[in-house]
Amino acid sequence: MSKKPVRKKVRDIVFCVLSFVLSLLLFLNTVCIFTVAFAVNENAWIDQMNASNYFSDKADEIENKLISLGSASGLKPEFFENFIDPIWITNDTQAYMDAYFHGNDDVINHSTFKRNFQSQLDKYITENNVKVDEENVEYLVDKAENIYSASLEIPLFNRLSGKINFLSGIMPMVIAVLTMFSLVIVLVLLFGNKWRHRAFKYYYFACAGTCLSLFTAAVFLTVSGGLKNIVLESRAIYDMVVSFGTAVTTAVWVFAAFFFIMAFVMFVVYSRLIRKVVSTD
Amino acid sequence: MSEHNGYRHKHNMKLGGKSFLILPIIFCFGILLIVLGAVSATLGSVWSAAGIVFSDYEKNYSTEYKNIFVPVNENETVDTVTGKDGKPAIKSENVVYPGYGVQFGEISIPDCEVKCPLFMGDGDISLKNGAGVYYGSFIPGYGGTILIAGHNNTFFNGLKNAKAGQEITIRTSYGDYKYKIRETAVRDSLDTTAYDLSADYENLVLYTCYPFDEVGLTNKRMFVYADLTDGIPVEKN
Repeated sequence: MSKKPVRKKVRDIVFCVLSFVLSLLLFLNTVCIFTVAFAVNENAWIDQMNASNYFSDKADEIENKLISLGSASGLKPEFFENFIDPIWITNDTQAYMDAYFHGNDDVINHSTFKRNFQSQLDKYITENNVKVDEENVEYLVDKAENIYSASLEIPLFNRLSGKINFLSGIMPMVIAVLTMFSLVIVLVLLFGNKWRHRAFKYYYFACAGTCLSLFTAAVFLTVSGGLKNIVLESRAIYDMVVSFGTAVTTAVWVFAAFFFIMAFVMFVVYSRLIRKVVSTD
Repeated sequence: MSEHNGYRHKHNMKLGGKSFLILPIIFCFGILLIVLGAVSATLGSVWSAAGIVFSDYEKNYSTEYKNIFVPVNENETVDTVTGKDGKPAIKSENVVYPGYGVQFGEISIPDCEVKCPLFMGDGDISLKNGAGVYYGSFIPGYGGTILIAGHNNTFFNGLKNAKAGQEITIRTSYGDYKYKIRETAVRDSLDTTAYDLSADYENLVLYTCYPFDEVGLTNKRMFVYADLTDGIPVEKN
């Protein structure tokens, strides 16, 4: 066996390993982009809430819970009809999310709800001349406030807020570092190969590898039904989480398609370049 | 043919060799293995958390409820066997034990103008539509404490008129059960001595928020205690 084929083989292996590393970096970068675009992005959460009708569904849920409370405390269901304004929920949820995403105090502000409930209750008591005990009324208002606050809480958010803050802080840097390493490998592949078509062959391997990995992830997410079997007490939160899961799954499919196109382009460029080289041989 | 450092290199025009398919697949497996390996340290806790957060089926958020109550007509008889004590008992296989949130009977206290559907479990849907049996207690015929809740502003508002000696009837698909009120009492909601769920005799405890017809909320509950006077027990296996 001649010396040259051995050197060629070693070079091929090194470039294959480099294209694998490039593929891995592209995959990790995509995951980081998903994290920044969805998990640690407050606007994405609010968008999903709007898309899934979260605020008005939440208003209905709270109304039903308050009707149950009313059944135990002398208030008729009519008292709560259209009482909850989805705008209070929108504003209080926005403030609650702001607090989490900025690492501030996470207490839900229910002052608007309390003020309106108290004034509506006073009006009802006066108009109907109902027998009351101040202490019992105070307890009722406290209970109603608790129902409102507890309903606005998003499960596990208080546990995740530390991680969300940490991730949102480091993610831009991680993406920058991954992009930089990817560029270095792209340049090494480009300038390490005298014949340009070879560089595009390795780019094809990297893009196709990333495409297949994302495709596998997308298939897994689609087949497993995303987050449809999650157990959540609140229907509004469930719809929001499922909508979130669907958006993430769609994004994974889109990125898989993007890398498929990239791989195809690299293959076309490679085949054109190799044709040119062969024709000059 | 191209010449490079004295080595004559021949380019192959063959496009799309095996490596174009195999290498991306190997890369895919490699990436997934590396990612799984990297997160394997936390994977155990993630899986156990997922086991709690996810179920095998989609959660049903419907406010509709299942009704298995088919009243037994006056002339109708239920299948009985002779129990260990020599008295008749309802065949256990003839009793469909209700699941949570299912309507399985009807409770009435004519003297208090109380008459409403009876559910298994005292969740929001049950109490919105009737009275609910506490899930950790018994249902009629099983020889234990039956603890039933209802709202004081709706179905159990009539309990304000409850007095000793009045009759309570619970109708189920496997027979009717009658109880006589022994006493009523107002207790704290956290008072664990207000009822005995481990009693070895059939007794009925109804409770609702107290006071009645007043706007406000307290920790007080009104309890109505009653003893079984008529009804065939369910066969004990």
